[in-house]
Amino acid sequence: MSKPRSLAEKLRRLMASRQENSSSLASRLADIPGLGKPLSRQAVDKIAKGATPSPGVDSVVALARALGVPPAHLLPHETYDDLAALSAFEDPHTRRLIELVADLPGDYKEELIAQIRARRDELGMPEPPTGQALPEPAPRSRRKRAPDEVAGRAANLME
Amino acid sequence: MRDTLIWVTCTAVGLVGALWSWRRALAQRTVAAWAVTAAIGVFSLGVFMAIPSVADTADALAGTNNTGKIVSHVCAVLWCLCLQLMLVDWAYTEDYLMPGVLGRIVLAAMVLGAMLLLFFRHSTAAVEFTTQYADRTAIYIYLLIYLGYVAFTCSEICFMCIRLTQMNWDERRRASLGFAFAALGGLLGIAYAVSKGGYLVSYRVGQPWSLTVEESVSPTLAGLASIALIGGITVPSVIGWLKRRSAERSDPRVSSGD
Repeated sequence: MSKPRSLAEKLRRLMASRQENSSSLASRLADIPGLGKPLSRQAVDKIAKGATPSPGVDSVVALARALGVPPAHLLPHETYDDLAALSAFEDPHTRRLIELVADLPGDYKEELIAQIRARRDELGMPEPPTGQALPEPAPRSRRKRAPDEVAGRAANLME
Repeated sequence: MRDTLIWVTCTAVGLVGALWSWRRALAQRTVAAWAVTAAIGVFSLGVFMAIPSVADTADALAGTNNTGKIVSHVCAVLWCLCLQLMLVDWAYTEDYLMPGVLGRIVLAAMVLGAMLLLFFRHSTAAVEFTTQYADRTAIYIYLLIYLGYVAFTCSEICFMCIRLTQMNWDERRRASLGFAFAALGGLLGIAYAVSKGGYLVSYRVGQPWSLTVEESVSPTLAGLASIALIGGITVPSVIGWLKRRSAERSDPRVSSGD
């Protein structure tokens, strides 16, 4: 079992994938009705930086709604890192399917999986990826050069 | 007479430095190399206009008391801007170079805008934009804006060049000595701004020191600062070039690499 991702890390990844920053996310939160007291930019920033490791349930639900993900995804639990599976679980039909399959013996489950794959093939649907987490946010390009690089560039001009 | 000697020397040093930097910029083609060329070129014009006889001639032609002064001050701001662009090119990555350059240009434009606004509103035949007229609020503010910008630039140069001196000391001693001179220039520039600005503030609080002393110390500090800065950023490359030429002459197989 790998270490589950923290709420802060998941939030950063989601913000990066949706090209949101703390300000834009805070203003989106303010625009969503029925979320109670909106989170400020500073509050969002603190959660994303891990300075508020355990925000309230209201805040987690609000952030999840603003980012369009199931609230469970933001919780630190390995199974909840799989955003695709959690998103699929939001669909009532998928949930019913899981309920029907859950207590079947293992062989039956594998047979069902093979049948579903064959059906997907017929429909020309590729197999969805499993357990896929959001990619790491791209590292920000550096604003300033490293001190050694500055020293070298400056000395090149001098000599 | 002493002022004339200082500014003529500075003009001569500036012209030689500008020509050398132009040659170097053609070879290196970096923002920093062109910024240094522009800085020394602008500096040469500024100090030329500060030569008392030239300033008097300009004033006579323009019919004001301040033509030489405003041209010198504008040149000093542009000289500071160019030196800031040199530092930006050294310090910033390619992605942030243009925003950094534009930020510095905007800052200089704001400083120049404020100075020119005050100048054109308050320049008359009865006043000069010097510490001698520190009792005039417009001139006082004008000089403080100008000196503040000079002090800010010289502080940046001084701190960065001290750091560059330390970092290059072991492996690139010649460049390191150049940075040390440039840092000294920055320090003298700060001293110039403090000397002039200090006089202005002390005048306003009612305890000024001698104007004669200020008028004697400030130009000396400015001249020395400029010479140390220009010397620091040009002399090491001149020495390097001379050494390479000497090596080529003694062994023609050595390529110039210049």
